[in-house]
Amino acid sequence: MSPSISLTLNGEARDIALDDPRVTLLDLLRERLALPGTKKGCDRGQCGACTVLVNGRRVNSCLTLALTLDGAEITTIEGLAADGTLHPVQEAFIENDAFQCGYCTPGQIMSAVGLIAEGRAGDDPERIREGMSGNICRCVAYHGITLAVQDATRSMTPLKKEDAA
Amino acid sequence: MYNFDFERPKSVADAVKALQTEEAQPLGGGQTLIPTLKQRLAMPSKLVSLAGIDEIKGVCKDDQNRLCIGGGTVHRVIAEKAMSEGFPGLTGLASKIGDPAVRNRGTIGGSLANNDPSACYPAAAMATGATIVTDRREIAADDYFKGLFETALEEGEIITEVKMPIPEASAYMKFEQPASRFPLVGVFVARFSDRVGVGVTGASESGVFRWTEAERALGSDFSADAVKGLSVPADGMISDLHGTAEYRAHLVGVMTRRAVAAAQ
Amino acid sequence: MPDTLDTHVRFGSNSGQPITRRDGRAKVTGGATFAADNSPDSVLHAVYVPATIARGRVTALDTAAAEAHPGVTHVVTPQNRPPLQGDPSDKPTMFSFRFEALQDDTVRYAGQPIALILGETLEAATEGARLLNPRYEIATPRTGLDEAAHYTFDPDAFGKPADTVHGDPEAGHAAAAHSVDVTYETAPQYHNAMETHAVVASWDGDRLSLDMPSQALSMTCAGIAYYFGIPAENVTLRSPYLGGGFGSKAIPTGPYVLAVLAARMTGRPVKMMLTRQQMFGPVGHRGQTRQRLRLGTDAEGRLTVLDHAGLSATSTFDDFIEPAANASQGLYAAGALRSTHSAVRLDVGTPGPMRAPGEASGSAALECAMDEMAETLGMDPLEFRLRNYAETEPGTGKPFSSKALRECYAQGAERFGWADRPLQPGQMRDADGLRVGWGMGTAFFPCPMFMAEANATLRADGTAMVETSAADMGQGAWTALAQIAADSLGLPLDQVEFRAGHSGLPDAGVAGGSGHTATAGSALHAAGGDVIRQLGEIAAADPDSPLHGAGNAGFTARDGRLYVAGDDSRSDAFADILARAGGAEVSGAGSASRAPEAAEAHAMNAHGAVFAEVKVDPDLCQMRVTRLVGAFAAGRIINPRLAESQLYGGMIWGLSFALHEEARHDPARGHIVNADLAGYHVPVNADVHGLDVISVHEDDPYVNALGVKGVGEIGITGTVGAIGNAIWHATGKRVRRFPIRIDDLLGD
Repeated sequence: MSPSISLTLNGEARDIALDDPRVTLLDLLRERLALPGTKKGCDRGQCGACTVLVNGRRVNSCLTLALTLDGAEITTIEGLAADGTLHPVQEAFIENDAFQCGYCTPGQIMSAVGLIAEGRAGDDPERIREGMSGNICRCVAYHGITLAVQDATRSMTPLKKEDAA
Repeated sequence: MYNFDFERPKSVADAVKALQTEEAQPLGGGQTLIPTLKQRLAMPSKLVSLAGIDEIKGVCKDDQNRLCIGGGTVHRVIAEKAMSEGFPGLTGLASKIGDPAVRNRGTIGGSLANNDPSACYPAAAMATGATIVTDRREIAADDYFKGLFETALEEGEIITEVKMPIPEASAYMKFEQPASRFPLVGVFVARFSDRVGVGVTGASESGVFRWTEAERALGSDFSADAVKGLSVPADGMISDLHGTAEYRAHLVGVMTRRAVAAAQ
Repeated sequence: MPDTLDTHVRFGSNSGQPITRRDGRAKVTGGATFAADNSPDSVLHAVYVPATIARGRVTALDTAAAEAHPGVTHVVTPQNRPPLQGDPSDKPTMFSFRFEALQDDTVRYAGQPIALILGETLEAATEGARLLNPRYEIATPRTGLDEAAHYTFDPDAFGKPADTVHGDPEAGHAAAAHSVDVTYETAPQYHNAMETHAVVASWDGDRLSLDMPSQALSMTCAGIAYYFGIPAENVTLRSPYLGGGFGSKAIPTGPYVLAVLAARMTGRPVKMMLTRQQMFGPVGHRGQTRQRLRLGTDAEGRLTVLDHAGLSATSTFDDFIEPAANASQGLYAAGALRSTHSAVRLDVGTPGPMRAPGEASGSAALECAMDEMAETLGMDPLEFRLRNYAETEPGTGKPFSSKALRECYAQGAERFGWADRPLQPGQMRDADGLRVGWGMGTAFFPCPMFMAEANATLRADGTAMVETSAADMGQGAWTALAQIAADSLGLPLDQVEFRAGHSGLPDAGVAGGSGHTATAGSALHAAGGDVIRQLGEIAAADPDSPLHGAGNAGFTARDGRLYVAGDDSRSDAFADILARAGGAEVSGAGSASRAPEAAEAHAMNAHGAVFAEVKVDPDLCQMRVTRLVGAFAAGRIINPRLAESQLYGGMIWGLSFALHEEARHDPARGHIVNADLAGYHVPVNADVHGLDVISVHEDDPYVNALGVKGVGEIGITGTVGAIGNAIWHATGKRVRRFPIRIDDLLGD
């Protein structure tokens, strides 16, 4: 069996032949598809640097064999501002200085996008901290990250706020 | 990672067939198995991905008031559905496993098949008296867990469903190891009309267990005070850099009381 | 303004502004290229095999099995490793470490490289490394402070701290009316930058190209070149972004040399990226310490002696002695001061500088000992520190270049609400019944300068380009240094192209010691000044310029125009001056280091005060830091937004030091049992609450022309002790080791 998968990657349909069944989504992106924006921090699912969206949900790409993703829709950090306009989460990360070295940032941002889509944290800082705790930042920009997720959540859901008022 | 063959069956029957190869291993969400493979702690000749089998996904309630959870259902879905089916204690457990990314991929079947001594679900399975359904039989929780990483599963046997009686009240309390967020000790308390179940994970060197002494005490008086004087012996508790056996034994008591209080 | 300050620029147009990171867009879009993001054609993947024992010898490797694995191209062991031109046991630069590069079969610590596998894919090389299946002859490892002989040493510039004595410590002890004698321990800690060490190396003849994270580009080139027998200028190093450094990426270590060697051996580009587990071994760590502090005071609580003796662990083959005891110099006005260091050789990798090396560990012990002394005196800990406030440098009597510590204490205490603190421990509970404790500590960090060079070029169109090989590991060099450069040229920031992170640029020195902004910034400031000076000469000599003949008055530069100093009515645009001069560019150069006479005349330090609130669960003894207030005075702040992030970061590192980080060795084999992020606890978002940073204004005319001290490391100091002291205040229990564990609080 010659392994191959079809998936939608950052909005584009792709057929990908895999030379090795061991390839994780993370190594597929970084080493074979020239999308190194997704970062490797531990390769064990312990740090969240490799977070991407699979079918709109955040997953650790290092814990996902590429072969299990046939038919999946995948969004990486490179696909978030594809048209050149920053996503509100990206804007908020810059504005709130929600990163320093920037290495965990793609994972943090994808995780934040996933968190906001889940719709359960709202702009409650405690829930945001809990919901973002799978993503380690060694520069510990957590203060800014929490503020950024709050800001982005508010900017993305203005109507809900009015409803609540 | 050891090299392996890979199959993606669409049905349980095909998966069982694929698993007949020697050293073949089923792959659930991969949240435990992939790191295990990377560390070469397992070297299957073939991985059989269960991700494409729709018949083992989903959550429903049966006519015996049991929550029937497909073995391939991910933690996030279990957390959502348990709430709407009136089982908030299980929601509390499933919504705090690992981190959100893990909860989007990890499955209950994978967790129960692996039987990590620090996994959360075994506590709920034991406390509720769940039934583990496989491609070939049904196994009572009391008979299923056989120690650390050991279960009653045979080679190539797949967990297709978990049937968990829905308690009148329940709660799960865990004390997290701060780095991995696995429970140092996790206690699931379930109150039914005729009995109380207390499942304890993370604590014992023999894996998950029912704290029967506490079950009896809570059966007559479901209150935190009822278990106040009870304790488990430190003998046989896990001792590691995150907590001594004595501390784990202490935690079992405290977490049980807090779970009971939360379930009121 | 004092006349030491170069007055050709007006600060505030760029410097002082809280602008967002100039590399922000690259970092939020995935466009920031870190070393391992480079994948040149025909790249080979390198994976080294780490020793799983700490002491002994490798007796067998299944090289045939690894070689037979599909995709594996090379298996390198001590038997077939090509020679290096420089011995890894040498120290080619003052800051070099000895390291292992497959010299022999001896294992000196767990995690040491014992073989190297190259493969066409990462998967193949990784599996090849597993297949080597090393066997060992195991010797009993020594990983605890009492498992080997303690020794003293002659001081050296790097890694072997000198002892310091001021006054007569024995007389100070004898004169003391009150005293404490306490011993604190700190655990081994590992940097664990999120970007693991990584390199992509390729050779073209005797020229070497490197993509690798470096906190000190020029020194790294020189270091690597030595081992391969080539001149440093043959090495091109690109390090535009570092995924965190924290001291671990300043000095090249064994794995880097092995990757470069593999590239030379194969004639192909080689990529190596360490696994998270490999970060616990050959790439440095903060060595464990034991510190004895003996403090004495007179009846009124004035320190008669501050006596600090540190024992630090190092490896069996090199010396990096965590200079913990030095933290007691320069801060409190004691009648006598003594700092001494000794060491012990253990079967661990050589420690190295890790964010606030010495200061962090030393401050942890010192600030707790000060708290114990205050307790003995029955005195409020802040009052005790104020009683011993140093108006001049203790021991030397030198004036401080600036010192706003009193304001830090006052503002921090006010914001925290320190005045309401009960003196006795165990007095406070919150609404949920949790024990509450408040503690404080003084933050203290020197503000060194190193050496740096920079160039600036004013282009014909009036825009500029500045360059220096600065390193941005997250502290914000791309932004803060550009702000300084823009001010030095009198240009808006968007008119200045800033080049850094490349070894071909003027040497910016090391991003370390919290001195990079001060040093590289001063070089940029000087380079800009050189350009403006030349531009002024051109304008003054130009009969068509409004500035003609005004050279003696001097010029100031702002908004792309030169003004006659003190006369805003006479000015000329840069572009106009250059256009009349034939469209020429003006290039200038600058260099920077601390002026020796300034260093001689003044003591220079940054200061701060940290206040912590902890809550302790009475049933579980679980500890949580619920509030941290830090007030810091660190001279001029170039970018408040970024400086605040640095201070937050430092304080959380302090929290992590106090409660989380500890590498634990297996007693039998000596390996680290928690060598990953599921076992070695670094803080996650949910661990961090209630942070508050106050930046206390401070003008310093002596540290450098910019008045910049540095903010990268000071946040850790003070914080560790504040948290330890708060835990005592909550529980009444003194825990004299870090991190404080639940076990330490049980049984009361």
